Amino acid sequence: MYKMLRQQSEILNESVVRFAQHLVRVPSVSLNERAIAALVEQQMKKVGYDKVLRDDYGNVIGILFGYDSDRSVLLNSHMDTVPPADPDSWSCNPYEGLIRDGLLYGLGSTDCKGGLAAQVYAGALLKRSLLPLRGNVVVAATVAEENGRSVGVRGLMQRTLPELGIKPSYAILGEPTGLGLYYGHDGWLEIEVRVEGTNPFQVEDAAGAIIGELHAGNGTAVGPEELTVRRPRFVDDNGFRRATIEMNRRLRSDEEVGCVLSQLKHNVSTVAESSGPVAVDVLVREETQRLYNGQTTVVRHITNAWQTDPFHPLIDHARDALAAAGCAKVHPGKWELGRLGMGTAGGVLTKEFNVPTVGYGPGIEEKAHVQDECVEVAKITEAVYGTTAIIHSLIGVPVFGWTSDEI
Amino acid sequence: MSILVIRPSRYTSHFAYFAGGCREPILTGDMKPLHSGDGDETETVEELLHIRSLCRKRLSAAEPDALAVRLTFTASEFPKPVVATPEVIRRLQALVPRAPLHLPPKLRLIEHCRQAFPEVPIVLVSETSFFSGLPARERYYGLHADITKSLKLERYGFHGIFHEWACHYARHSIRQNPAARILSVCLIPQPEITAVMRSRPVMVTGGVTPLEGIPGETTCGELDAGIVLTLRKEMGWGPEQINNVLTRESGLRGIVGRDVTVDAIFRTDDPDVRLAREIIQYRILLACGAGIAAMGGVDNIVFSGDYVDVGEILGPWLSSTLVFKGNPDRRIPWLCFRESLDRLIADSAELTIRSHLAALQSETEWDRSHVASGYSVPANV
Repeated sequence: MYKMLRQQSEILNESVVRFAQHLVRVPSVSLNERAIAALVEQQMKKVGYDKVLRDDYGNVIGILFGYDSDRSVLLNSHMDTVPPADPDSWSCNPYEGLIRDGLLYGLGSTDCKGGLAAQVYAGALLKRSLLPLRGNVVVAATVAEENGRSVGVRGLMQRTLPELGIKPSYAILGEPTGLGLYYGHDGWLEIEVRVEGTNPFQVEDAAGAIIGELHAGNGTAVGPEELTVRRPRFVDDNGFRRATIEMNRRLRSDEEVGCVLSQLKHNVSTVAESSGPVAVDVLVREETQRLYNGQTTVVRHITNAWQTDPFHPLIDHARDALAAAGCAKVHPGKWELGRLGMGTAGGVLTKEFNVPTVGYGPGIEEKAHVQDECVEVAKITEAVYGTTAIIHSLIGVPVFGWTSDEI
Repeated sequence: MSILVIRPSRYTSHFAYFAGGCREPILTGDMKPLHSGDGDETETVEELLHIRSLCRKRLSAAEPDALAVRLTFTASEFPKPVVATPEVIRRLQALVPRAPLHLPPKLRLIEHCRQAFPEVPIVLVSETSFFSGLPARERYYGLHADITKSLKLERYGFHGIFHEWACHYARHSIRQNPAARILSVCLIPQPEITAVMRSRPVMVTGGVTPLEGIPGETTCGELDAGIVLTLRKEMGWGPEQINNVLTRESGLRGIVGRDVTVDAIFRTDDPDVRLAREIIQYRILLACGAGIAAMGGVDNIVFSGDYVDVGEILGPWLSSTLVFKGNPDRRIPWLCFRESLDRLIADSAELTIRSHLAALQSETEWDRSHVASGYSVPANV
């Protein structure tokens, strides 16, 4: 089976790389994914998905139906990118889709258009290989991950898939893992500390004391490298003076958002007390965002920490399948998420919808959100093959005993 | 009757065109495998249309009277070759989970054949049809009945076409009665042995999948189930890895350490392959013994298959080793059946078409649904 899969996969190599280049050439900063959604939808139809649709959130969904619908695998990659920090600092045009020395350069190439191309083509490979599936394969190219804290995935899981009668049993993210199997990451919490009072001096003093405390890392339960604190913004409103301090804090997988907030509130309130009668509140930052299709949604700026049990059958199956398929040695691990705001939809899938999730993508984390972002072309094509092997091990009709060439 | 035989495999589809009355094909070749390009499947239909035009050139513009497509697995669904009607296709589709690698591409090929030869009946000749009548004692394993039933764990042979025709030939050629007890040894990359009484198999070395039986060129053959569990535990392998090792890295390849054919190990003195030869030969002997036990004796042995010439080596050896009960001087007669698989498939298809026609002619009302279903009776049959 793997020999046949490999042969069929190699036939698709050129097409998948071309598709990845096209994806890079279509700008798709968060909340502006209309053009890339059209491209993905067109490609899914072209390669023969049984059903292709666009949901109310602008996500593009391609489905391959299996014999039974009791188990489904969700492949998820986001279509959006962060804005290019400084296009002039790039050695090439971030939207050119340049391939140089085996690397595809471009904004979002590693995070995660390479992974998206691989997942779309994993479905194509399954279709071509004629391997029967027991369950469904759902490939979801989602919106608003980078800026929207996985608004697209949440909508997909809350409304779109239930309306289709599909409940994913497993999810595979196409986020950058360097073809390792990643099973979680820490999260980030964007917090607003609000200090309010009638006496402007007391409010400013309290804000200053809180800033000093936070900079010293006191009462935050994390190290200084896991915390950023911005200067306070002051506003006068109806006789009140209000200071807003924005801070970002790493969230470990064993921490609950509610606990973190109440602990922090207790600490900053204590600090503020010495400045006089001021009110202190601690909130998760919220924002109303308009999706590319006009829908509006309120986004809470939490990137949940999450982890799938490294001994979960999903990880076992995936590791076994990749080994049997002859893929390079697979390294299990977790994303580092070194920079603020980085995250994946894994938190939504595991914490909010209880779907065991693993990451398997061609990009590498260090190349995400940086100038000259790039992904190895060979890893994109290998991801097509590897993803297909994982899917088959999860929901394919077993081929045990049938794989010799002797009949 | 002119028959175009198509033998699809995973990597290529072989075809052979037999003109009426000819034992040898007048046209043979290989088609590209399905999806060999990055385009859609119209390439396959175009290739079949090209073959159709070649057939017409070879036979004075006449179309084939029938297409015969070999299927490797249809369980017990069709005890005989059948004409591909929509109902037959539906029943085949239901069998896909039981032969997941083999049936889907064949179903696609049948569909392509319909497009390229819309007026020509397609006869499906299956390797497992012959084993539909295996006795229950041979068919089932010593497993819990619920497991057997839910997973449909039943034993088959996977080379019924060779076995059926070879036994027919053996009975015919030595003028024995139809009740002759025949050991049929099919010499192919994974040799398969069946014991046939009164034209009905009573024992076969195959299993639920082709993995069971005599070791093959890459398959392990019969195995203690405990070994599988040990591989899981000691090597830390998952089912996919274990399957890979058992089906692709075992058998002759595993024993010798390189690729070697069944044919080659019986034709060389290379000490590297001696153990492999001994194992295969010994397993064939044991299987023949089991077959004789199942039949309560044997009247002759017939060899067939791609490596039928190896029968010239195994025949005398088996004949002298498997002596008649109570009469050690009497040797079991043996013979080699050298027809090609293509020819046998064509013969099976021709018989099917003829009996189908006879059945149709006996009907007072012509069932027009047959025409609507994509085939019609050729005028020149």
